[in-house]
Amino acid sequence: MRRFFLAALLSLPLPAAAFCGFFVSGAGESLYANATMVVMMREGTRTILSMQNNYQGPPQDFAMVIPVPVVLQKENVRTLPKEVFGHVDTLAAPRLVEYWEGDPCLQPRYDMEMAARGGAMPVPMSAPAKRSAEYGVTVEAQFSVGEYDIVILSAKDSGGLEGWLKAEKYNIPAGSGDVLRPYVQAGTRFFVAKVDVERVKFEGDRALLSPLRFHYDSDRFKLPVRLGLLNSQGVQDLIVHILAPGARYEVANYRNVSIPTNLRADDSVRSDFGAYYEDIFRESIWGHPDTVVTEYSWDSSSCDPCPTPPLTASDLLTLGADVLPGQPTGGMVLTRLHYRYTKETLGEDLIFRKAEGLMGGTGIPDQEGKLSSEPQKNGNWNMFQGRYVMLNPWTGPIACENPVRGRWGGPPSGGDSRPISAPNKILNSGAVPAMAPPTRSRTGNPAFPDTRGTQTGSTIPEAASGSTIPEVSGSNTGGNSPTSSGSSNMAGSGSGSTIPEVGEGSNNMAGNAGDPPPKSESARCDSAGGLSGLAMLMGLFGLRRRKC
Amino acid sequence: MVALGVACAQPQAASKPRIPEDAGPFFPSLARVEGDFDPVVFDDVASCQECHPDAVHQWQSSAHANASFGNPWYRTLVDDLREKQGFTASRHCGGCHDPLLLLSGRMDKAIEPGESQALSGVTCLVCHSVSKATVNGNGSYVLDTSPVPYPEVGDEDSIAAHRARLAMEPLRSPALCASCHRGFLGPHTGSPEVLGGIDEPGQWRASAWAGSHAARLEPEELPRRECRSCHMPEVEAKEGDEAGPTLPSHRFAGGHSALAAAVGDPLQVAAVEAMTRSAATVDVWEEDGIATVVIRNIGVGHRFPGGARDMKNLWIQLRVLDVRGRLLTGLGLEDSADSYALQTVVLAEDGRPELLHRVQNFRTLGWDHTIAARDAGMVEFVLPPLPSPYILVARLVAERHRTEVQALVCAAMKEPRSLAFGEQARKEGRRVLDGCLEEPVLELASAIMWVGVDIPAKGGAARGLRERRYDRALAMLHLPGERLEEIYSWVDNDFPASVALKATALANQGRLEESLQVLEQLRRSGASGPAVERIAALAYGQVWRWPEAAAAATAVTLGAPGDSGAWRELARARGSAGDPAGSLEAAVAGLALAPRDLSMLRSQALALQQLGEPADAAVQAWLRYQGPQDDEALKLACDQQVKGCFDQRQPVVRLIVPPP
Repeated sequence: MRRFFLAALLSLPLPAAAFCGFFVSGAGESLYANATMVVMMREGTRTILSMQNNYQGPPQDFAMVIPVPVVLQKENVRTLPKEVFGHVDTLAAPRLVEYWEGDPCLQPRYDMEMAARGGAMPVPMSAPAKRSAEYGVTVEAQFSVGEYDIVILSAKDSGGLEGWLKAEKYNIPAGSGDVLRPYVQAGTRFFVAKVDVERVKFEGDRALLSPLRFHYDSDRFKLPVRLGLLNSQGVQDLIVHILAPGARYEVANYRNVSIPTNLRADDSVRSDFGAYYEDIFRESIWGHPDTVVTEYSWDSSSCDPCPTPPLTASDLLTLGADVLPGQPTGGMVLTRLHYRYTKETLGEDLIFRKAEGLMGGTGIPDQEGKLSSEPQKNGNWNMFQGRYVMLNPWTGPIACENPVRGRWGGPPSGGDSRPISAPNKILNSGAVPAMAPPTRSRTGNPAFPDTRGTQTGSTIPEAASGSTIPEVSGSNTGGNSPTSSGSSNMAGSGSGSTIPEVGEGSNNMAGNAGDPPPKSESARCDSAGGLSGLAMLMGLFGLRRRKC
Repeated sequence: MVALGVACAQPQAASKPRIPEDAGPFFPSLARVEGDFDPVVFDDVASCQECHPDAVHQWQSSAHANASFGNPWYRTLVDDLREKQGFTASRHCGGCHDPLLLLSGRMDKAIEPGESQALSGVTCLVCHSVSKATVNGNGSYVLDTSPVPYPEVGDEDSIAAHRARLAMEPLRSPALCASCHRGFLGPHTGSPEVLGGIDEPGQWRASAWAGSHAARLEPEELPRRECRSCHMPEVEAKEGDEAGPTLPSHRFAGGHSALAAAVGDPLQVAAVEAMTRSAATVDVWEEDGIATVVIRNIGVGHRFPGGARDMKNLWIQLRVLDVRGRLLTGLGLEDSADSYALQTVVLAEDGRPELLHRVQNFRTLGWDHTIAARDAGMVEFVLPPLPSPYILVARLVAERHRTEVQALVCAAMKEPRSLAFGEQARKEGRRVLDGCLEEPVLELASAIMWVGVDIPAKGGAARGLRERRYDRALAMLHLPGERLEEIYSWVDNDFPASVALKATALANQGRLEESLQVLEQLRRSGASGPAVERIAALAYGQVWRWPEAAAAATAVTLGAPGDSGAWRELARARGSAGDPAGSLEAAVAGLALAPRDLSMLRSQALALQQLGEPADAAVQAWLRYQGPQDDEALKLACDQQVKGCFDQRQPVVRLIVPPP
């Protein structure tokens, strides 16, 4: 069966002052230490999985272990240019946009220009994520790809892989054998990628490890994540981009919500959009640690506003269309899913399902500055993005008898500044993600500036003013065909979607919800204990606690 | 709820491992003989006919009687194997097609048309002398060569002795059938790795027909049936057979319509047609410009079609008609080439399909569109823009052999060797089978629906809505994971069998709690048994709650002990839960039913290692049967070289219907 797929990063153990794996940030550098970013392309049974490697230790210490359902061949594996990940991330990340109110006395020409320019001309701004036999194993294949040396192993006993890795001088966490056992039972193979330092490119002292891409066929579309939990240290973010023909995806076995969008931001957000967005994100998942947040679903060949050009045919080919039948170079929907997890909250593979199209985070403010914040499901039509809007009311003279207010568009200078693409503060600030509640309640919450001050009753809806996070189809599965004999009584369908006030719901949080902020880097190194030296790419080591 | 029945057991006395038998004096056939084998004795059909004329005459038209070198399809293919792989490799075939040649050592030599017993097939005494049969396959029987005591009229003792000799225990056991209707290929036939072959007994044992109700919650009660129930129905003795007034039919009717036609026996033709026409239903739906055709195996106790499935040629013909009945467009109109065929396709070393059943070229399974017992399959036809209203006609059409095999065999018929075998058959008073005879094309089932106008449907589309919706949802369980969501709108919540499909889909999606709630709903409605527990095991296993999965899987094996899949899942769940002794116990039990099941061989070996028991033989067995390691590469090569390969490999195939 091709059920189990997972990945882990391991690093060679170092003496004494052991490198603390994943969580080290260079001096003054921003670092999204705990985020894992993947791009998956899917058509039919084929899955192409690309992983952004954010390992930043000595390259010679790096290795990645990926259990795979089949014996991958050299032609299944390649490296990618790092830029393509940045491109996808920038395109799909939440963005801050800015509108300027037009001269109330200058009317028709402006509208025509706007229409000719495709309607809205916001100035958005987005948050790109920073981006052998004696051990009971058989080498099924061995080849080199880019700077990596790839070995495909099959294990002949549960401890075989563990033994092999130890023999190869990798540190692996205690208890790995228990976690590996189900994989070995399932006949899983293990893909091990090691770095050949001779083939690594450096930027200064820093090794630039290429993203890895590989593909395989499976009836099931899932992202196994268990193995990575073995050395999971605190809160981690997983950002999954899915490219698939004509369809948005969500996670079948987790709660799905769409990120509140079209929220109004004040000017202070400009300088700290990351913090602003982080608060929105935290509030979206607060009380529901099993929540996967849809941040984007849009045809990959377009965007509005565009923090970066949409994906090109070349990008799609790079990300996997080259191994799809017909090599499609268009018609792909890009979905961005964001999951924040801890060892306690993530226990199950992410199993994806196709979902109805979603629209939201679009449009231009109306005359009163209002924007719809309610996402709409819309057949196969996908135009959804996490968009946050700053309005710049007209401040110039109004020298006409019948001024018309509320015509919003681009900057008066006619410039075309781009959106700030998703400055998730975690991504850029080096802050560590947390399962903690939003920094403030909705009242007086800097994430929702329109809820305070004079703009109350603002024409742009307050953030989550209905106090309901829009669920993206939730867990309801029992829709009826016209001839269905009855409605489904599926359990767990979409209940509990209300955002609790700060402090609410903490009893419902599993594990780290409400935990104090993460400790310092050194503290986390300490907490890693015996795990030090092992870094996980996706946090995909799953550790299931046995009942007995 | 299932109690947690699997503890983290302390290591205990290990079950004795079960290693597949793949050796013997006639290997790669696993046939054995007790005593001295005399092919002349075993070729004596005339003696049987004296008292059993009905049985013999029926048998003479059967595939058993025509299994040998007189059969042009077999001859062409086995000759090719013998030429390419050597005579010894053909023992693999001989055990079940040519037992008289094999057991007298003559499969190891050239076989010329004049060879005695080269046309004999599987004679009366072969089946009636089997003293032992196992489920190993590849002819895993033992023949008793002791003299046959012929009875004296009126002498009850002699009759009893006759019966005792000729009707030993295996005769009425499915194991006798299993010994030849299960097979495996491997290095002995030219494939680098062991490949599974036909497996009618395993599929039957896992079905409700065998009383095993773990596969699904059946929508209706089914009688228990075994091989003989379908393939040897009781028929009237018309020629004074001593077994009379009725006897089990010795026509062994199955799906070999071409052979029946070549034999020229109308009764055999009728028996085969009756058998195949009761096999399946076809239904058609139209939504949003897509015609979905659902095929359900309702009557076959194993996969449909069965036998050597790579040679079969059953396909869906979709015709789109205007309201006057004129053809607008369609697929599969002439043959299966552009449509959806119920067959398997095996890939060769270069990734291309091996379409001529040259087993030495087999490397890995490309796709399998055959349907398990009581299961359903579906194919989606994307329709072009059509003037409404219009009519959709879906037909399941069957030929015995794929076109390529027909052409190969017909060409071989013109060779001197074939002509000589034909001449020999004439000399022996046997029927000469013509491999060039046009094969019968049978319509096995159909469905007709009108789109855009309210006119009652016909055929399979005219059945009750609940039944149709159940079939549709059943077929949809084969959708790729991300489309499983589509099932839920086809579920009828007042129909337990349908609700069980919902629970299965939820389990597959990793939605444990929801699946368990639906199962609880099912239990409250009175549904129970291994099918329900199996869904629970699946749901727990999907989220790695192995102890609970093992507990549920244990319940499945208690309710369906003949289902090797249930043991496989139990062995894996226990192994994953850290219960090697329990895993070993389950694996050993399951391997008794399916000796070459890779998953159970693996569980067995892993368990022995963990228990510290000697494991070398078990590990070797696991590795020997792990199958091709390059199958992914072969499939990718197929995708790159063969138009439509990727599409055909999908779990649910979608085909584009050309515009009118």
